[in-house]
Amino acid sequence: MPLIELTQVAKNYALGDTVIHAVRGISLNVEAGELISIVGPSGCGKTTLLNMIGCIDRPTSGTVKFGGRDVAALSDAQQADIRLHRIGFIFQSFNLIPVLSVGENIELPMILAHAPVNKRKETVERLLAAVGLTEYTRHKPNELSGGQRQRVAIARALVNSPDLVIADEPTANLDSRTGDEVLGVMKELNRKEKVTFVFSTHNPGILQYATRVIKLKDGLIAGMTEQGAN
Amino acid sequence: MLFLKLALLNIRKYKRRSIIIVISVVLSVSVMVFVGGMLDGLKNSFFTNLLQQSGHLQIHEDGWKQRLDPYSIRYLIDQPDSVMKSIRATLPTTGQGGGRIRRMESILQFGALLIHNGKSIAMVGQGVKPDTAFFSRVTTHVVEGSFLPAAHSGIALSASSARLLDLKLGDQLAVLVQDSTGSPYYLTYPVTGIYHSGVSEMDDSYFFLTLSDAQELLDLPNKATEIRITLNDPASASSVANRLSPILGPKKLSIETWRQINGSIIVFIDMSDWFTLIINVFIIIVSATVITNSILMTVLERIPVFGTLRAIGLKRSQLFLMIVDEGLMLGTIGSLIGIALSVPFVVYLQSHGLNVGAISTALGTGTTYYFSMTPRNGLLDFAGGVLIAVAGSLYAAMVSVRRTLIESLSQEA
Repeated sequence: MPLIELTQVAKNYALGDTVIHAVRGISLNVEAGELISIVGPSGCGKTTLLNMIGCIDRPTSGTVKFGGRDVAALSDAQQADIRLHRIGFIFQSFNLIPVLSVGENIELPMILAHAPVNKRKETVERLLAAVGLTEYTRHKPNELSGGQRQRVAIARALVNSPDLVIADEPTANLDSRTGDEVLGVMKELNRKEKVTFVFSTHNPGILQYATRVIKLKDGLIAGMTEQGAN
Repeated sequence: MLFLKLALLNIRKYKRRSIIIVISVVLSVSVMVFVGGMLDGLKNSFFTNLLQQSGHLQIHEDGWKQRLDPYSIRYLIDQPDSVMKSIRATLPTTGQGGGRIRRMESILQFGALLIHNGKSIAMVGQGVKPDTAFFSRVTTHVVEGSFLPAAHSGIALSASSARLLDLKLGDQLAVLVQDSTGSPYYLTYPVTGIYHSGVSEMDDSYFFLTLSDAQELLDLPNKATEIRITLNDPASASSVANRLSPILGPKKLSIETWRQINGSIIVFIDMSDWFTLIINVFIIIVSATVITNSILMTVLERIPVFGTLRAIGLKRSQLFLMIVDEGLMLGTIGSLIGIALSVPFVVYLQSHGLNVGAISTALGTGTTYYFSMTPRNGLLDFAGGVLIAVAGSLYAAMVSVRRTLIESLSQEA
């Protein structure tokens, strides 16, 4: 059974009297352990698609199944549970909590999941080491560079050992060298920890990291390339 | 714990707005404590004076209530000592318990004209025991001489009445009355006491003689217009009245409780509770509006952060509670400061009073307001302060959780 199963998923937005067809009927399966890159120009529906996969938004029509469950049929609280336990998010603007330290930002999803203190401490230390930020535990996000902040976001996304990590343009706000580093971390985690990644980008230079590349255009899949492990 | 820390950190981050919220709560709580203390003190003082003067129970001859002349001596209790003896035989007079008699006295009230040096004023005479437990605002506020002598005749009147009649201590004062036969009659008494009670009714209308002098003056030996009773607990007045009615009925006497005697005034006192409530509700509404606005501003700025929190698994209900928690914390901090600032002030005014001059004399509370501060009121005001901030944060919390996750995430920070 695929981890994610999208069937004829469409999403429309009303903008005044105009209806925007952001996603027009996409069917797609994501298998566990994949590292999928969704590419396409701005406005092609990448973020909308990721939001629906990540239970952040509901489709206008079609079904999104996560582990075989139709997530559109779930309540807000049930969707929140899925986001907490099974999905990690990495945002383009990092979206760290500014008043919390690096360690606390990473720990937050575990607190929401009522994880025991010892486990939280151990996991946060391990992930900080994995993203190379051990010495920054007590720093506030505004004391870090963009690349460091995105690494914190990656650690936070992984802290509850999710089945899937969704990254929406994770390198958009980073310079190319830092972007490469961040993608390298994601690739390493995919290879070692078998974490499934679905990330969007419009930067063709980072496609080398993906096992599968899905091209979107005008809300539809315009092409798909299997790349295999790099 | 992290959520509490998050709330505290947010309070610190949005320092200016947090200070505005805390100041609003401090002001609200302080005003509630002050106004509540003042109104409660006024009510207590008014209530105490009223009951102290009227007693908890009054016994009169049947028909007394329907009299046309308020100072009529037509309705009289014959042999009041004998009546009091039978009352004592029915009710316990010692020990604890609400229904026990603390004080019982007979009083002879009458109208009279006081005459001195060609000047005269019409006043109400009160024939009382020299050591009367009633009229304590008079007996404890004697400014010259002593109240009434036990060994010989004397008269006590207010300083203002003495000034009107050009009287000083020791002067002889003529008291002209219509006696029991309907004939005018007068006797003179030396002024033995001059008082200044601060209560307009007592200073402007009353003068005092011993009960025996009043009975002699009116030619009413062994008679009184009323018997007043003070109980250990005013709340037991009705039940005591019910117990006494069977022994008073055959004597053609009727008994009234303090609620019946002071009906309209008691309604006024009861209304003061509503008045306090209305003031407090008004304070709460005004403060909650300011607080709601401030909390809403801080919350709206953080919508993207809330979106992130929800994206990583925070439920709507948890977000709602988190925002209300902040209001609760600010409310608690503000209420503690408000209580710490205002309660000592009100406690000081409880013991030292606030001199408001002649404003309060008409209310029968003297020239000084003694505030009232009870732990219960303090707790209620504290809870009111917390409630204000929580109420203010509820709207902000509702606005935040009503947004969809995608709206929250896509809002510009």
